[in-house]
Amino acid sequence: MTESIHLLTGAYAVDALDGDERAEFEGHLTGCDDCREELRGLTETAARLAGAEAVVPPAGLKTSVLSQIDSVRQLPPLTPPESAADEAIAPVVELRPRRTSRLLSVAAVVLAVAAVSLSLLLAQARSKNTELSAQAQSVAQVLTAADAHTVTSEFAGGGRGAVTVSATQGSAVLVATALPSPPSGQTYEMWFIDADGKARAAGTFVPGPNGSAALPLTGSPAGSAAVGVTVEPAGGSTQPTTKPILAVQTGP
Amino acid sequence: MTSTVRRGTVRLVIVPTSPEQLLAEVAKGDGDAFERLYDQIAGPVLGVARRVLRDPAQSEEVAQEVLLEVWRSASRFDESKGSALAWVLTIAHRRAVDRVRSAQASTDRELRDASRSHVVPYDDVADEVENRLERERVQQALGALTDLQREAIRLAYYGGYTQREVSDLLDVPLGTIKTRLRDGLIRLRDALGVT
Repeated sequence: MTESIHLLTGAYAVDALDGDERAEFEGHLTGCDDCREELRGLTETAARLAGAEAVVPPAGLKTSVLSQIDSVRQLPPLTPPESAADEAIAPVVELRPRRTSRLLSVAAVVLAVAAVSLSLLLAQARSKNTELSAQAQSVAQVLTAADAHTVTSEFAGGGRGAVTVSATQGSAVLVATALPSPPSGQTYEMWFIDADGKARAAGTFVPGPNGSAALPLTGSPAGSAAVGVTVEPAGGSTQPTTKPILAVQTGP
Repeated sequence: MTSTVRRGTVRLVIVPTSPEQLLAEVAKGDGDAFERLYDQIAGPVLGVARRVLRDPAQSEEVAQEVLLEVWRSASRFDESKGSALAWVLTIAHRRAVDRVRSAQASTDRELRDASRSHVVPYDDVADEVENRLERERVQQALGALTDLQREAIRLAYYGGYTQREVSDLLDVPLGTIKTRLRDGLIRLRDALGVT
């Protein structure tokens, strides 16, 4: 398996991987210098295949695109994580309050999240990877639990996150959409945070295609007051070393 | 770079021209730089969308999405990972492929079964070609691959098929397809002098 994943540089460069494989390979890439280097050359090669297909675009396309850029907000640069040994985990009270005026947009996000989770689950169910299927199953159990409680927020660098907690399942799930890949050599790490701001590592992840991810947090939400996500060196840390890019209050 | 001479003083005006330089300006919200970048990338972006999607209206839609995405996420371009053009065309190809896969999910199977008997229909490009020389070079490099390497790459890249589908279409084990996609691309890379 480990040997064959290196062979996927070619398939990845021509977008021949399906969603799950793409996500898995991107996870592998963060820790494999050889694959990253090889992929760089193969991506340039694939771009030549595209470039050879260049056509003369109709004039209308330019007018249309240029007239629209004014209404498209640009993404901020991904800031490298600060060396934040001194930065304690962001206090939960800093969370943007989501009041009734936000209810509609929250509902929309929850719906979108549900749709994304379903499609991710379907994709995962189709996969023969048993590990993924088990994961998809536990995600489904939490999302469909009678006492499931979902809190949504935005990632600091773009993308939306929804954390669903079920006390009866003793489990929590993070669903992310439109989340950019972490800087190379780094990963996202999830944390259960208690009322005193102490963090407990809850697993690492790298978003898949279109920045989507749906996965259970490692460990039980019991005793925690919030869930956070930070950027950490590949492999994860035992304590957060950067400021959270997402923090949502999930408990009292 | 252009220089302007004015009343005895020489003023050197640096005009960013490479896609990389232009992207850096675009990231700061420079609309003029975006227009210059547009002139360099719109042809290939539309071309690859056209090749994968076939349908002219859909291709233009996808090209437009991709070009706006370039404007939106210019700040995320990372030169250490490759050239600006490769970054743009990776976005374009992936967007086109994702569109094909979602749109075709339902009707796909029948079409695929129907096309099983004639696998190589990729020659019906009616658009005005932008860069004939480059196309010829790439065609020549593709021609130097083994049949399996070439068909696997064409089905995956121009057809938008997954490696699993390519394996089905060519009736070759998946492991072989993975290997051929990789060694085929490596051979292309060397033939095209990609560094």
